[in-house]
Amino acid sequence: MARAWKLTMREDEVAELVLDLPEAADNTLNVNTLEELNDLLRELRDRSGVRCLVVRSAKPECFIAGSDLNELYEINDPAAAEQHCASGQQLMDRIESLPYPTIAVIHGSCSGSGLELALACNFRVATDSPKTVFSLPEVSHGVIPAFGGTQRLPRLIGAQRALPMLVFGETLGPVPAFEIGLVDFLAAEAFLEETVKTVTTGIGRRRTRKAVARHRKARGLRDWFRERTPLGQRLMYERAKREALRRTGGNQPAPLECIEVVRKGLSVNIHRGLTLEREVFGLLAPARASKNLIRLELTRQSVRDGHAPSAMMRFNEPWRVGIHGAGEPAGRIAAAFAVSGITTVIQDSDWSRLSASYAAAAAGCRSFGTRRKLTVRDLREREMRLTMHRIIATAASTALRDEQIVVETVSESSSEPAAAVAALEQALTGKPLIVSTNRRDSTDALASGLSHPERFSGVRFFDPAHGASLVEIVPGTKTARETTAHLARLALQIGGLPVIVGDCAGSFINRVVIPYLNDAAVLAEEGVDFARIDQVFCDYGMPIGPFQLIDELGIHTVRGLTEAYAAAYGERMRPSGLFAALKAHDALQGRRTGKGFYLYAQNRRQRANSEVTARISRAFPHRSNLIDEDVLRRPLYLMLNETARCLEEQIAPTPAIADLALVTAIGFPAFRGGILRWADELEPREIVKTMTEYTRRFGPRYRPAALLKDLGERRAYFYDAVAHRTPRAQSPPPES
Amino acid sequence: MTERIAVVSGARTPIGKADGSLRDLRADDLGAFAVKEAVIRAPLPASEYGELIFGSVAQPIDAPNIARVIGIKSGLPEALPAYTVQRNCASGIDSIAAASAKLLLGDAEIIVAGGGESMSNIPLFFGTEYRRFLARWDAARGKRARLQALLRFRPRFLRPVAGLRQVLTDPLSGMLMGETAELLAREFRITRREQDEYALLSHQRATRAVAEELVKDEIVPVPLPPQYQTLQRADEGPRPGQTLEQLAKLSPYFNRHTGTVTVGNSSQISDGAAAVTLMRESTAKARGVEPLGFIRGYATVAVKPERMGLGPVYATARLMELTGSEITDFELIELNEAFAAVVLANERAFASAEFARDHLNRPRALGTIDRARLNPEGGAIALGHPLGMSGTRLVLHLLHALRRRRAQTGLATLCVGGGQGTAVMLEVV
Repeated sequence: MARAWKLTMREDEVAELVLDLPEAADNTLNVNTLEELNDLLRELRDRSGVRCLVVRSAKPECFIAGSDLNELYEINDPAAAEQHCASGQQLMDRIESLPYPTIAVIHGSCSGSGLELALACNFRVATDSPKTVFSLPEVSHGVIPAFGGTQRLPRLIGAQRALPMLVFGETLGPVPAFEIGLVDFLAAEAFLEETVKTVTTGIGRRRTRKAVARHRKARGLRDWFRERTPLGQRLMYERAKREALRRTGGNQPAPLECIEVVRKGLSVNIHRGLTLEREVFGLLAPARASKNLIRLELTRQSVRDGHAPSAMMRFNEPWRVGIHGAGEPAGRIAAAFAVSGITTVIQDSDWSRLSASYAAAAAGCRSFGTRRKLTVRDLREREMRLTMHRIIATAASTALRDEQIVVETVSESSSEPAAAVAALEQALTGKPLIVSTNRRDSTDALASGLSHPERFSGVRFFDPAHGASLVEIVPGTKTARETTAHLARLALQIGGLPVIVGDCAGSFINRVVIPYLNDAAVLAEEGVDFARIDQVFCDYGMPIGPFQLIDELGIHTVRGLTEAYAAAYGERMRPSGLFAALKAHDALQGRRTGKGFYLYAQNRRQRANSEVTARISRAFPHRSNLIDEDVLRRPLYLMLNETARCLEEQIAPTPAIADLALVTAIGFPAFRGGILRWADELEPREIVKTMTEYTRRFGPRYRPAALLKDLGERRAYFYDAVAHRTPRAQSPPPES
Repeated sequence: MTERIAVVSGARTPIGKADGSLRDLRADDLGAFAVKEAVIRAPLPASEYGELIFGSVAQPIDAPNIARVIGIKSGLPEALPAYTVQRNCASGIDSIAAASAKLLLGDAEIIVAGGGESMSNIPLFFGTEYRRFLARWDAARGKRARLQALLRFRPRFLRPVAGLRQVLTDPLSGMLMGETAELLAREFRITRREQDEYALLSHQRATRAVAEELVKDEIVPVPLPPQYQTLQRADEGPRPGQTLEQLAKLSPYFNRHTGTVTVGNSSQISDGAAAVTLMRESTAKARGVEPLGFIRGYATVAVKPERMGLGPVYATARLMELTGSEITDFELIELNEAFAAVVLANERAFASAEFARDHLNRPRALGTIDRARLNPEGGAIALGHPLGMSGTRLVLHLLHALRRRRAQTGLATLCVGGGQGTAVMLEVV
């Protein structure tokens, strides 16, 4: 096998260790590369005539992107985990204890164990390129940094600065990293070699070392207070803990454990600290939450890679997208495009709908802005203006004539959706790809009147205004594979996760989410307080409860969809009477009108809308004494049941992708691995039992799907039993 | 002109009052909205545009060469060159004239031209004295030098200079534009009442045009930052309930004691932008494009700075010579309502044989202008006069007005601060 590390001696007694993982775009540290490095270090230690060691990468855009997640996923018991941790820690110690200066030269992504390796070096040189980013994503994989990161990082830059990176996965650009002393020398990419040369020659000198030490020490009064005084320390750790609890709802141990390891580790020497790190890693790595999080991440990577034409290829086509039919959804989609630099023309005959699009787009762009932490007000405002100018609303009927991609949003509310799509095709002389966001009808039904159904597909954007969201691509039977591939690339371009699903009314996500929401409404109808229902689901780990989600989507929209799906799928999707009770009320539409199940006022915490509570109790006077467990399980089992049906019908490609899609689209708690993974954990057999009981008590919609029953009878699991079509199987064909 | 220039499409933003609804839009934002819509209405691929030319009077200090900023903000190709023209109030026509010349030379096939102004955003300045003081303060090293520098401070340094006032002042004569209008009122014996009556007419005509939806097609509504929650769809200037009594109550602004020009019978200070797409008539024919109309010819002249208001009559005389046309050929005339006095003075000059003989070197008068054909849908007194925009707006509106009346030929003309005048002859068929 080709070797990953290359050791060369330069003329000026500088040893150079270069990592170039064979057959990969990015460097990662796996067992082999670590072992190889270990051997090389032994060799280096015994070699004389070395004045200084430089560690660097041969990849153009990556230093080291972290550990091999597949290996981490395979760790199944605490002993193996601690062993893994120990070998890595020893390696880092070995680098640290080399008798001459060690320098990490960083260009491109430096994350996870890559950053830990850089921390084990005495000095760090980095380029100021935007590609250079520092991060420790381990907590998002349910573990903590295992190669000394939890100890070396706070010792270098102080706990105050280290906690956000360690606990919340905050990424740092090169300039902030330099300012807080993580990076000792900053270089322009073009002059990197010169800088490295200066550093390697100067590093032996006392003056240079003093300057580096001074640079690292430069801290403010607040840091001194937080890190050096007992009161400040307590405040700092308490605050981090509060924030961790806020973000995870107390469902995940990794962030809290990480804070503890830092706190305890800083009060003892580094060896004791490393032991602590090892112990905690040993506990977390084999745990289920970590496995779930890593599996989702691996699935995500394989889905993305499956759609990328080649990892090295970048899209630089001047994309432009047309949207036919304005309104809020159109605005949110336009925002996702505009933020990614894609000009979007929204065409509609009605300026009040166009105005709604502008408003929704602005709100969407703003949430991107906050996410990117553009704190300088002026800069944010300027960027906002430029982004908003990429959205062009117009009433000119011919505006989309020459566009190459047109998203239509009108057919969903049209009484003759297929005719609406066909009319659009007639009007567009540019022969574009037409995609429909219609959530009611199947792609095939919509394409029935088209003369070019091969250039048509369904597409759903989930929460497009919030970044890395799910883009569900729903090709019909006649949709060309190039069309699907093209749309998948467009989705990647806007930072979305493209998942190709089978064609049916509602496609995958809506088809499984709407019964869940509908059943929550049924619970409220039976007399369970809706705020309590939401609380149960938030405790379970959902970012928002079902009623908050209904408010986001719009009460009327959800009602419309339940009706449409009831027509398509029959009795099991019968709409809850709750929606009918809230029907004749226009102001009550959810978030958009500021009033739904909750009241949404600016700068105020949302609170339950007493008007709705009153209406519900008037229409449905009885109270229910359902226990929390059933409140949680009834809607979730319906979601699960429908997901099982989607697997049967091959609407959802694999359990892994179905789980990933739900996690990405509606924020199903990632640490649970997804709904199917959760079901596997509860045993399908037990679920079938409970559902049979629910069927008896609450009605036939809980009747378990054939697949679920089958799994129950065979005592099998979704993840083993359902034909494991790999994500690659759904990748587009190579382009001709 | 060797060939007519086709105006393929055009659009303008609503006109906002100074510090009104459009105040949070910079001049380049306004320009971008107009350009985007004009480009969308033209059945031409964006890659084929050869130039963007934009008129702006108070060129924003933070957007030097505003045309380039507009080009990028409009989503036009980065490779599209752009430059800004400034001929005061005629800037928005000069961009079209410059584009015509470029097209006729064969420099480009398609050009976007326009003009815009955000008079709400013209800044206040500190004077040069204050700048010098600050420079000295910055350069001062040591306590002694600092103290010395500080002692040179005078409170008067802090008195701001209104940029808007500077823009509206003729630098040669030092007169405000309104003061030149006062001169014309005296020269042509135009009474206060006559001016007020004309101003009222402008409001009435503009109000009726809004009611009959005559200008809706020209306007692209703009969303209002920073929230983008609301949309400005209509001009803010026209006052439906305007009466002569209200106008008569206003005191003269430029000459408190014996003046006749008030803010009521002057054009309003406003924000807005307009844009058109242009190509040679032959190109339009070859591409099968149906244009809004054509530019048959244009003329620009210069007169005494103090008599800048008479620019239109001089420019029209020159245009008539160039195109061999008579005043009766123009079925509609848009004469920019910088001041009621300016419109009335020009009316009289057009009709006066004496003026023609003394100033235009013509044996006979240019001809009387029929009021019904002059600014039939109101003008800058009612709508507002965003300096750089007005020229383009007149061309755009005149083309729409001609088409609506199934008329063929029109004249758009403006007086230009600093003592110039511009006139353009438009044809629809």
